[in-house]
Amino acid sequence: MAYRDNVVQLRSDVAMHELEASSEGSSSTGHYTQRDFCIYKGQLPISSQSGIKFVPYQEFDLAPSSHPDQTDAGNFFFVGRPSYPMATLATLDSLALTAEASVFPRAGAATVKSSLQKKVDALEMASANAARAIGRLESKLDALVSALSTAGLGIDTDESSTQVVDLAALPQLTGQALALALNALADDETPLDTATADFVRSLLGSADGAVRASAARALAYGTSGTAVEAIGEALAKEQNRAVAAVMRGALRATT
Amino acid sequence: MTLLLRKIDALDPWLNEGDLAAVAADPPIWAVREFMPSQKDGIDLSLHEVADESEAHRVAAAWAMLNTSPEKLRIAFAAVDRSAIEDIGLTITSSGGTHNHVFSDAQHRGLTIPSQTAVVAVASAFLRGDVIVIEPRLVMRALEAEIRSNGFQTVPIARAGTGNMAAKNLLKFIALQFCEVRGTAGLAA
Repeated sequence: MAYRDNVVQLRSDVAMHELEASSEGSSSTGHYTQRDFCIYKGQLPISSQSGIKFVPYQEFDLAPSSHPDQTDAGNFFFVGRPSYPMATLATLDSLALTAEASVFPRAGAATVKSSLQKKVDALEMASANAARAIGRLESKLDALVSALSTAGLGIDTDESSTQVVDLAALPQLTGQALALALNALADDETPLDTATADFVRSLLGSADGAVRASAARALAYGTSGTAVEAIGEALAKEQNRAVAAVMRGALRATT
Repeated sequence: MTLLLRKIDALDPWLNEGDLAAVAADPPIWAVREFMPSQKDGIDLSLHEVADESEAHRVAAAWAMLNTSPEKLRIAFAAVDRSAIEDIGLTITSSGGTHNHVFSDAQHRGLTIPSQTAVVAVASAFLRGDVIVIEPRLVMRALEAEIRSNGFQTVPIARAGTGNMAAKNLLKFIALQFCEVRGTAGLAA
């Protein structure tokens, strides 16, 4: 049975309860494309006609369904689109593996295993890439800390210390570096202590738009409501509509 | 009155300009670059037309779907009244988008930019318009709402092992616990 001669298709435009084992020419690449997989609910009337078999779900490390519609072991159900699209996708993903194994009768489980192995390999490669990226970042950070220390900006690199960066030194940095630091605080939703919050609040008056915007974000995410008034005042005075949009967005996300 | 949105690739230049309206008459090069159609797009600038900011959030959700880390995604749009673009005399066409998102694709517009003068005019119009910035938290909220309401026409999925963006998206959604994975009952071999 040639692979291309018997591609399982699940499409959103076919009638419910219909699953095609397509003839040659359809999906001729032999790949299961995005459009081939969509939402299906019902019994699969396929095995007797096509010879395609589906291995039990247990082999795919997915939890048995608690959905009331899925209690009949003889039926293959996808949960319908309105309620559980992701469940459907997980189902289809496993179906893709199953179908692939089935249309390669002699490959069978080995094909499935191979597909999974490729996935694992890809993940391992991504992990190695991430580790290298972290290494590069650490080198850059070391260089930055070194440069700032040389400039006398009071960077404390003692990891046992609770004060790692002297925020009072930050105004001596460029606006871009300051905006990056403030955005990092905001992205991590770092709570700001009183002194830091006061300092960041003062940056709302910075001449640098990126600093004003990122200061508003850091305040919005790092303080519990006390900075809202300050951001509101800054917003009322803001001339730059992009900066104002960032301020508005930060307030909207946090209040 | 509707708004035309253009997703901003680089927000920093917008923030660093003193007053955007003040430079609109002679748009800086970063603004011209922002509104220059890409080689891929030919002479049509890709825009979305929305009624209000809440609809911009829906478009942002569609954009977020394409991103591997939507939870870190801050999306910014330049926004301008459609009439401001029509006044320039450029052609706006309804061209289906490619987000696989029902709303976003329906609201996709192509703005024909036939010349350098047109780019400058469009940049000027947008600089006089508004900016919408959507924080990651709200992008995620919008994305979740769109997934739950089946806003996406087809959700990307791919064969296992391809390692492509679609497969990553699937895993991403499951990881984000937007939806419960219930598994399936299959036919016995």
